[in-house]
Amino acid sequence: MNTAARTAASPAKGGAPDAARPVDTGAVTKRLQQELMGLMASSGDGVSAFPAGDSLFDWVGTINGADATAYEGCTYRLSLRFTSEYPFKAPAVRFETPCFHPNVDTYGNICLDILKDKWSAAYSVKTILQSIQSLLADPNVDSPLNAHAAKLWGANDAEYRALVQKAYTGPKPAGA
Amino acid sequence: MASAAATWLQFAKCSATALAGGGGDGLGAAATALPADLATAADGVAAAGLGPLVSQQLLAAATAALQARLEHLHATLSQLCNETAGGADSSDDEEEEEEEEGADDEPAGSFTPEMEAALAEALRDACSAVESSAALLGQLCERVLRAQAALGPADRAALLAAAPRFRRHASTEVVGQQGGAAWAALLHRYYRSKLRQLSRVAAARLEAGEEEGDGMVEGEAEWGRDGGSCGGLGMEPGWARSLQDVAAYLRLLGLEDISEEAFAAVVCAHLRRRLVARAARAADERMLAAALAYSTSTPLRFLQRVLPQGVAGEAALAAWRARLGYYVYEAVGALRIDRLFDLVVDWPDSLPALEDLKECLSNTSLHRRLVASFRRALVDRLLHPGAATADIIQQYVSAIRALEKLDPGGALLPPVAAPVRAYLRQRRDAIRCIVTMLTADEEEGGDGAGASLHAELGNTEGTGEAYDSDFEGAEADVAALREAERWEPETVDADPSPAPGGASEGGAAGGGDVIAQLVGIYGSKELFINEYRSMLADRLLAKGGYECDRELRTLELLKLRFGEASLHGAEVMLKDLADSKRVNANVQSVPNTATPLRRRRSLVDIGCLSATIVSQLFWPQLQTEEFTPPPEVASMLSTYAAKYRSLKAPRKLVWRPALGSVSLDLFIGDQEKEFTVSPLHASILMAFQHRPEWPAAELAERFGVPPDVLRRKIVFWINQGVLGESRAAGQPLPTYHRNETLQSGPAAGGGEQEGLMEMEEGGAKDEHADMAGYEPFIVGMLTNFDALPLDRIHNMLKMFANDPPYDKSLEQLGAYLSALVAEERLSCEGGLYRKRS
Amino acid sequence: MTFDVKIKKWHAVASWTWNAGDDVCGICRMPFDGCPPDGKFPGDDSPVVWGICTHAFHLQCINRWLSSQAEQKCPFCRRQWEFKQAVVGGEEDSEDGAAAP
Repeated sequence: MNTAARTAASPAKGGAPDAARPVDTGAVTKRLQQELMGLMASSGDGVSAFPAGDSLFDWVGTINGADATAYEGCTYRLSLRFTSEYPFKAPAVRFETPCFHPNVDTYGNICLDILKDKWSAAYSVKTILQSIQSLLADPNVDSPLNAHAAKLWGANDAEYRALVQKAYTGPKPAGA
Repeated sequence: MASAAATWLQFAKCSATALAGGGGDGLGAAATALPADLATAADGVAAAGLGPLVSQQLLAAATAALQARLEHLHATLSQLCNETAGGADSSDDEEEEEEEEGADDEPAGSFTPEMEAALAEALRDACSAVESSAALLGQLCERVLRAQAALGPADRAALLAAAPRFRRHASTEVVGQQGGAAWAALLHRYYRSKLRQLSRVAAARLEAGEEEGDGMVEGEAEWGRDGGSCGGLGMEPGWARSLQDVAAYLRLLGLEDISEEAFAAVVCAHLRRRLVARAARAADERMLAAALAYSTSTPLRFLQRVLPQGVAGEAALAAWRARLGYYVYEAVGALRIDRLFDLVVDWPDSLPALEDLKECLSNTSLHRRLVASFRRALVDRLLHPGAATADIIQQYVSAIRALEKLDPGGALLPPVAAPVRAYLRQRRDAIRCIVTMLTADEEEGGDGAGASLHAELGNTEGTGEAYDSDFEGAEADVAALREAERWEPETVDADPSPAPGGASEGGAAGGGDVIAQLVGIYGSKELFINEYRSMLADRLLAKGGYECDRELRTLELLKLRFGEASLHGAEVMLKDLADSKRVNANVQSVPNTATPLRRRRSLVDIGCLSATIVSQLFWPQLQTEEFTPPPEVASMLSTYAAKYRSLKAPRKLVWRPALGSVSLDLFIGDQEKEFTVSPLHASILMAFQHRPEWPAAELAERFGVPPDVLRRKIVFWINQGVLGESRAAGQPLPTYHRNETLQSGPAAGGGEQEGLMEMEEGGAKDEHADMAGYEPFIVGMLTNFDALPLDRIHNMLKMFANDPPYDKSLEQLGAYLSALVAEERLSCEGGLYRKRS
Repeated sequence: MTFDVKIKKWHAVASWTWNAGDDVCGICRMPFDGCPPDGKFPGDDSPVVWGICTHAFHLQCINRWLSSQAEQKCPFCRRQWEFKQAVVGGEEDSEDGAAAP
């Protein structure tokens, strides 16, 4: 069972709980459609995303761990769920591939300021994913969700790397 | 033993004599008693225990005797065949003419009363021979059977069967060496002759006003009281008598099958001739009811004589009545189907003929024939390079309406329309034609480019939603074609709902929703609407004014059809016109001194300048050909823009100098002429105002356009006789000069509107180049989902790729993915596509 | 010899632009010269505004952003948002009247 299949299947079920979604979703849909077009027009950069199912409100994101970091060669899947208040409110973003990281808990929840109080309407799927990609390389150890990871970060590089690889269940790096 | 042999010989001799002699007078013979000597001989044979031999012997003897007695019949047959041989080869076509010509001369091959009498007499003799022999045979066998009690079951059965066996032999003998074909031909001519006599008399009576009706109805009411007598026929009693007799004799002689085949063919041919003549005459009136009524008059009266009388006859007659009715439905249906293409051309004048056809379809199973025949006609007569696109569309529209009439269930349309739709998809101007026809004025539509479809827009039975179903036009057509191949008419008869193949396409909006059908050709309303917008843009920009009431009305109708959202762009375009009108008035009223304009500009009078100011993003790509306007125009434009800016800052204007229209007066020599031309045309003319001649290169440079573009424009003025060109030897480019007086141009080129809008078609589309726009989406999906099957990719493209909207078929996508796999961009395993890293 | 051209009416075509660059509104991602998602018509009905930080947005979009936030900050630079006064007409006069590139 690979992660993609799981994440691809989940949104269909996920659509039900917030059935109370306001009727006027046209504006959000338009903006998300614009973002999709933009993403398709400029692929690369180690981040990618695509709507997960029938609706534009649930996306699957993909981040490649940056070179020369503990995450090099790893490909992480994330889910992004938008509300009808997007882009005035941030989407809910989670890791679907387990990720050993000071700011990611075992459920995949991410502690990142731009997804919370530092959110801006000018942010987009792409900037979110790029920020998370940077976060992998540059954790914020002051407010950890994973204390163990925070403790090892910068203190025991080898063990940190080993735990990152141990937690990682996604596709293995090419050639590995 | 000797006495047994003598007894046998005696019996053989007596019986042979009796059989040869006829043993009484024919038909009544059964009642006659056996001659005494024969009875004695039979008893003797039985007593000698020779009973088992009797049946075989008698059969041989009777057959031999019959052969001799049938000589007269065969002679008569030969003679009649020769006498009527003139007509033996006459085809039905000739017959038809004979029938139409009327009663003047007896045509070759017809029966005289003498011939009929000879036939009847010969048949009667033959009957008598067969009947008397059979009766004798029966009596003898019965006697032997009674006299010899100790017979085995097989022998008893043989004796009992002797007479019926003889009858069967007899009919073979009657047919004789000339064979059934000769009989069939002769009887065909006989029946035909009789039916023709009846029909002629009926027609004469009709003409004399004895019966009421419209020519086909020959007193159907009277048929009921006609009964068994021949009084109602209007024929001399002998006509019916002899016909009835001949038919009865033929039955008795076992020629029933040949006879029935002959009169059935005659009756059907007779009916058919009538129907053909009638159908050829008029498509604008119904013929079916009259034809059905006629089938129960003359033909049925004829059949009444030919069929047995009595109870059995009445049953047969009832069966024939139904059979003729069905024949009429089938024949009229076939006739109408054969001319369906023309009926559709003549729509709606041909409505009565189509109503006939509809009724025929519901009583027969001609659907498959209709589909095959009409499709063939469409392909042969319409779908070829010589046909104008507008005509094809017009005929398609008529076909939609006609078939809707024929088959409200809509099952016939998809298989018939499939080739038309496939063909129209290949015609690049088809969309444009459809849009033109939909939006054209009724008056404008009268120029042979097909009638306007504008009225259809007001017909709002279809809703915008009908187009949003994600069908693919081409796929549905393929399905319809397949459906047509294995068409089972029964399903149509039984169930008026659309056939499965057709349901997905036109069926949704109803076969009669012409616009849905036309738009459906392309599978997406987006393509259609884009074309509409591009035409609207042409119209609006060519106007040179702001009036667009008519376009607004059309837009409102289109919005009802396609939904407001999809026509948002067009709505903005029309609002731009209204806004432009208002802004133009405001700009014109801005005093020069009120803005910090440079002094030079403040002197520029912009009174003759007006502008259409567009919201660029909502218009189709505007013509890109640009040029540098002459200084006097440029200063007007910049003054106008400055005034606009003073009103609308921070918005500003970007001029499209090549677009728009200019009306001007040209004073040349002693003449004054008025033109409405494109800005570049006007600018060219202005250049010659100050300078009598320009080398092509210099003039092209002045306007910032390539010399060939300049040349294309200048040709208009040369054709108008305003400018001329000359070419010095060795010079690659000509020099243009103004004419001192208006010359008659080398060609009476175009109208004075020429060159206002020169639309150029986009380049041919390459299928894969077409698909390439979706590649990032495909790659994007596969990046985030590892592996996906074809249909999932297809659906996601449909859902998320909307610029340009995804309108490809599953097959097209599959082909493209295969190409990507071949290029090693993707891999495909077990139906799952993956991105290659 | 006369050869005189008298222009009676010159009907030109222009497009307008907010002159905010080719860019899109950072909030709705729709072009400035288009309309924001809830606007029906571009231009007068969908005005573009600038903050003193020089960032531009559709008026509808920035208003909605500001009303959803406790603090009034530019979504791009987080600088305190203040509307810049509209440019006075004619200031950039010299750019006008140029033919489309």
